[in-house]
Amino acid sequence: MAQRVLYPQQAQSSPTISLRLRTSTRAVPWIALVLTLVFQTLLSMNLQNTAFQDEALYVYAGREYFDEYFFGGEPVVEPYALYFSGLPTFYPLIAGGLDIVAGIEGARFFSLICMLIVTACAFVVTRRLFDLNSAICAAVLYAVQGSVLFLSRLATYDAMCLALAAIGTVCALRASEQRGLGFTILAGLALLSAVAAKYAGLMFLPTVLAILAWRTFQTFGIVQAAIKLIVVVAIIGGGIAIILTLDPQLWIGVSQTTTNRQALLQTDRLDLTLRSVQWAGLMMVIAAIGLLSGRFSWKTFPLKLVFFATIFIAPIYHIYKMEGFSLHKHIAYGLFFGAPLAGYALARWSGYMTVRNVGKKWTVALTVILLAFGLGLTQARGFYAEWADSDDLIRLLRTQVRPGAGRYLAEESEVMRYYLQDVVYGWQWNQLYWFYYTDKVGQQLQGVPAYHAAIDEGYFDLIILRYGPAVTTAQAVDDRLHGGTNYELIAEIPYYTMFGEGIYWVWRRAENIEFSGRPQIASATDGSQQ
Amino acid sequence: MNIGITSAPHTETRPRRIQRWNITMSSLIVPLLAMGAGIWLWQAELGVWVAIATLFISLILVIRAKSSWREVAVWVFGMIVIISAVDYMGWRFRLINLQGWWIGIPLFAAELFGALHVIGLQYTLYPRKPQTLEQHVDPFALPIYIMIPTVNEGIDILRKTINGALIARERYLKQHPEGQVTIVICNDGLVAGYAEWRDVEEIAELLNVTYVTRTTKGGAKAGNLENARQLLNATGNALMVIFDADQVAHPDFLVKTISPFADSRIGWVQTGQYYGNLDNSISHWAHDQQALFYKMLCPGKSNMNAMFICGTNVVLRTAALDEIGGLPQDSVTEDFAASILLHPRWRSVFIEDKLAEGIGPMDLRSYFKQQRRWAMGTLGVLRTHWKEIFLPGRGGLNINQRIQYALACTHYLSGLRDLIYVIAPIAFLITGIPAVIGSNLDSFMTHFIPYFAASQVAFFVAAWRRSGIRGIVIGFASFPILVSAIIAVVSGRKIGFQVTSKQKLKDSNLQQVRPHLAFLLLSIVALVIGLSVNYQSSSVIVTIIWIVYQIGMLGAAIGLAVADDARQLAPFRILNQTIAASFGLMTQRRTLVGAALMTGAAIVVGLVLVLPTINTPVQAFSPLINNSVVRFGVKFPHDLLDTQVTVLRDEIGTAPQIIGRTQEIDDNFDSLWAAELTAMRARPWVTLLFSQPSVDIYYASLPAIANGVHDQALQRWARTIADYQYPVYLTVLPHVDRNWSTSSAVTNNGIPADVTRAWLHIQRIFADEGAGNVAWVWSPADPINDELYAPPTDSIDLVLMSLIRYPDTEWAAPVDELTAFQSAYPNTPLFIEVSAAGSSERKTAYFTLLHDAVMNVPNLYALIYYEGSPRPGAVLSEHQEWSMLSDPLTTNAIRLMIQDITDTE
Repeated sequence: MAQRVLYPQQAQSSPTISLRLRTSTRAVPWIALVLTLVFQTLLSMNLQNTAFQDEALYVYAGREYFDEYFFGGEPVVEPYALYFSGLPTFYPLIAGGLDIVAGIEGARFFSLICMLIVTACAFVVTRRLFDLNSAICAAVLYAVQGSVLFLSRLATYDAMCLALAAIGTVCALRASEQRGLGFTILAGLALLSAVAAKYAGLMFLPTVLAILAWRTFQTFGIVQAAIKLIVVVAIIGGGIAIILTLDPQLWIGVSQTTTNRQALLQTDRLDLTLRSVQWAGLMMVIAAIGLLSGRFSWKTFPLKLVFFATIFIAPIYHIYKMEGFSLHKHIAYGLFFGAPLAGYALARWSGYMTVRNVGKKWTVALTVILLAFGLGLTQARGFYAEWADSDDLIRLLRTQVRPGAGRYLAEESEVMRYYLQDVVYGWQWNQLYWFYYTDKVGQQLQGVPAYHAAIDEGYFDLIILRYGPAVTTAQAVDDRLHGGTNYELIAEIPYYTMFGEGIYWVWRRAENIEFSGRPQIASATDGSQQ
Repeated sequence: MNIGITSAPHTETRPRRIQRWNITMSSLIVPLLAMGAGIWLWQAELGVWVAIATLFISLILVIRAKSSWREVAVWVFGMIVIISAVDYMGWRFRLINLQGWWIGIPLFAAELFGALHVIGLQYTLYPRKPQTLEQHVDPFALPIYIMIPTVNEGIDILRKTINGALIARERYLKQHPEGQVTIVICNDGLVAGYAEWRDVEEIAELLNVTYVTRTTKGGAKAGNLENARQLLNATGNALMVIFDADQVAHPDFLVKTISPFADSRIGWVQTGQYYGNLDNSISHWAHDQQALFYKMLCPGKSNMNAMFICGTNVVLRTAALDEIGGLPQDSVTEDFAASILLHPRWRSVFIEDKLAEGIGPMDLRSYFKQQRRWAMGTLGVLRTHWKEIFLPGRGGLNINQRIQYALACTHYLSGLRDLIYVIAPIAFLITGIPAVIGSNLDSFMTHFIPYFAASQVAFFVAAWRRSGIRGIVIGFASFPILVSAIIAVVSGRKIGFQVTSKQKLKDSNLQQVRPHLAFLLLSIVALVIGLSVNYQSSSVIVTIIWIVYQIGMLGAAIGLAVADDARQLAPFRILNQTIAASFGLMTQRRTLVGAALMTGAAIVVGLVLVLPTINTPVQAFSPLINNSVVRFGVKFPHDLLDTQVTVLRDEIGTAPQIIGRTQEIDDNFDSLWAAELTAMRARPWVTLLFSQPSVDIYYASLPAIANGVHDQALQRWARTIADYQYPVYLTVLPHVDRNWSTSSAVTNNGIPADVTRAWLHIQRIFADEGAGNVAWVWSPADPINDELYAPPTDSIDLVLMSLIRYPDTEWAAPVDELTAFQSAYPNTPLFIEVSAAGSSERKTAYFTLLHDAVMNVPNLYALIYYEGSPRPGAVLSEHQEWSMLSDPLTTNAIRLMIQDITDTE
């Protein structure tokens, strides 16, 4: 019978190498996390475009608030609370302040920081629930998701809301591990802030509360669990009550944008289902494997199930409401909760947990994450190309506008208003969502008749159409422009989005035409909703 | 040596079952996933991001590994290389120039070959577990025959080899007294016609070792060995050690190489072939090239049981040789051919330790001859054994062995690859026919740079402290000889086995690098052509960089030959060694340090020459009225700018102190022209228009300027003017009060109120850029009635009045206009621009009147003649009509006027 002899070939092949990675070093996991965050930063910087309509709206609003609060500017008259999907004086104020310092990139940088925090929280949560290997896999897998990369470069409420919700989750986990109420209070405050940042944060409260309650119950019993739950709910409920009392207009905002929302972009349910699978499917599958992996235990399985189910909250809500708007952003919320399971599955599946030497088994994890990266980056680029690059349009408009003189009608005027704020006052802009007009015989009009009368009387100096979300009104305006002689088409500016090519049509009042109507007192209000 | 004995576990624990499951899963899933990822990457065109992603994800995943940094780095960069190579070749495939197929297809094929070998290298280097060997027999009981084949190496060399073998035998027998070691000198001198062949027998007798002198030729080295083996009955259960005549064994050679034969499946144990004569440049560089193979590739091959026999410093089981009828004698690389036949049944092991040392080639001729022999041998094996390597089910080699043999067999095709690499850029720059079409610099950088950078980093990580750039350079230098070897193999020519010379030959190395010199000259010619034709084209830029790299490589090969020759000239040896050393061509580490220093110095010099001078304080310039200094200036249309200044100076008798021109915003401030003016003691006056060719006129409108459309261009102008440092007169918004102006306040969406906004906006940008050396010239069409348009007075340094007199029109009396002008701007320095076309008498009369009028303008700053037709696009004959030199009378009148106003001081 032959004996097995291990010939020390490998040891001889690299005898001079004495440097070794020290797995015992406490810094190593944090180095892995830092590398993940640097990677996420680099990837997100890959996304380049001019400001999205919502970004322009929030940042502009934030600048107005900033000006009022800190520079003694005029009070903000625009009723943003009526249609903003988050507290207007919270995120927009921060974004506006950063915009003053560094422009839209400053506000986007804040979103990046927020999303880096979310990734770090995914790491921490997974490490606490599973192990370090799973945490590393979870963090890097989450960081390369298209939705995550997109939010990392989007100056809207979402990144901040998600960051606060993620911090709340970490605090809830910590709170469940100790008797004191310190982390419980912190969790409550973080979650309240998340809801204030964006009302949709409410959707993910049950998950965090379930984590807190179940983990506390497992460790300290039902009384502790109940106390902590009550504390958190009291903080959140109390905070919301105070905020709504201070500004009752917010009720309408919450109702219209979140609790009783009407779909802005009505979309077929099957289509929404397919989109959800396309954008989150890989993570869903891996998380499902994570859910089913490992030994079954009543202690841990319900918690894993909660995490897994949370992935589906946003898609199900959108499918139920038939709302195609913002699904790609909201996917990232659920993925945060799916990441721990996916990380666990990936670490286990690829042998990452059992084989500690570099070898082919790690190639499985690398390949899966590379695949996720390829999908994620491609999707993020697609998301970021959903709106037109407005550079050419803004450049043309700069040849036409002047401060305090002239009125401009534009589709998605928020972007133009934002980029031309150095030369055009906000009141000079009108848009296609809502418009009041008093014609020269004193007739008060709104909607399409108002636009028609204003065009007939040469009220607008410029009209910019692109047949986007307000295509019906744009068509009505266009018919009037073609039917009359008051305006001349001065430019057709092509643009490209992921949906295809389009044109900005820029009309200017003919040089021989003067405004013939009555002076208008009120201008339009913005109507963009989230 | 440490040999650990392990026993199989009695029960399989749960983690082990998981591990087995994982291994099974991964063996199925890894290839599938890798294939999927490859296809995805191919079509996704993620370019540089794939490399970045691989780098980060790999680092993140392996950071907790219990592996050495080198293993981790090899793993990470190996992954990046493979993925970026797939990405690059996918991109590259789409860009083959099929129109110029004669260069497009060969270059792509060469690149594909290179990429496959780069991937193959990474595959070989990939960290793997070593083979697990079993212990079946006591290897130390096997008889050992140390065979030392010799032809004509000489007694001195052979004596050292025999002594080395004796010491190794002694050390071995001390540890294993039961062992039997026979040292055999296989003397082929007689059949090779070597005059001193008897000396070999004498030295063998003297040192008390066995010798066999062959009397029948055939089979070269293999025949010699096989003859001795059969004669001494070194067959069956025995071991045969082969040392080339110059390979001196280290004392522990046998001690370390025999133990693996405890596993009865082991057919041979190979060790490295290292050179000891590193004081010779050629052998040192060749040693580095050898090290790439022995120190980097062989351990990887060994882990895959794919290490082949290298002909020397090897221990073979004779039973294995018996199976294939002895060493094949129809190949000059009999060792390699034997391995292919043996590997299906026998295992091989490589030991990296330095267990023997030999003499490397001492001049380029010997080196090239050695390379040619190896190339012809392995390519010959490819020709005869390709079926065993490439056809499934043939030969019995496993997949890893097939890959390794395929890589080894095709390695020397790299000569053809390098030849194509050398020819392609030269062909492109000379003929203009590209091998690649449809790319741009960005795309190239995105796809090629990650691949190139990753493969370089991966290589140097793996080669760290093992080999280096010298090995690469001398490998590249072999390409002409490898090409000739390929031709020889393809044409079926045979060469006999020739021993690599162990002495330095008398021939000059320069003879060996004649092809390199020819390609160097061609490269330099191509470079000159490239630099002179259109170096702004991205393909030309890339090719120029490529050809510079190529010149460096060819230069290094030639430099090696020159330095080695220089070192051998006895009367100047010390001096030449000093020179060679100072140029980094000595064989030691100084080579690279010297090269690095020289490169660094070249970069520093380049930067000093190329980089613009660091900003120095800009002179503030504010024109002042001084009646004693009134300047004469000339403004030219663009096509007369370079030709007329000296003519005018000679004819008028006064050198112009201001030279004007009109430019568009997309142009650049012409610093060279301005510097020429400075040398002539003249100052530039630029009229800047915001019109742009093929751009809508809206972009020249006043709102466009005021609202920042041209800010970047203005900043560029401001910076270059600030860099110029000397005074510049600058007119913007000329004739803004008229509808013919490109930036008009009465049309093109402009209104009078826009003028001040635009004017101050431009000035603010210049101020921000520190261009204090600009004097702002306000130039309305009607400066007498410009209240509606004029910017604030304190923002105007000079005001211009144009007195352009067209033929067939009524010419107002200059004195009236100038009086009104002077009244409108009593305290502002005035520019008066004049030009006229018409009859000689009329012009003379006008200039005489003007002469009188300007003498009475106290705030006159400069009188400027517009030396050309104001009509845009005017031809030379029209310009002549408006010239100061259009006729003698006009010239005289102008001369007098200019002399008068400039002589006032």
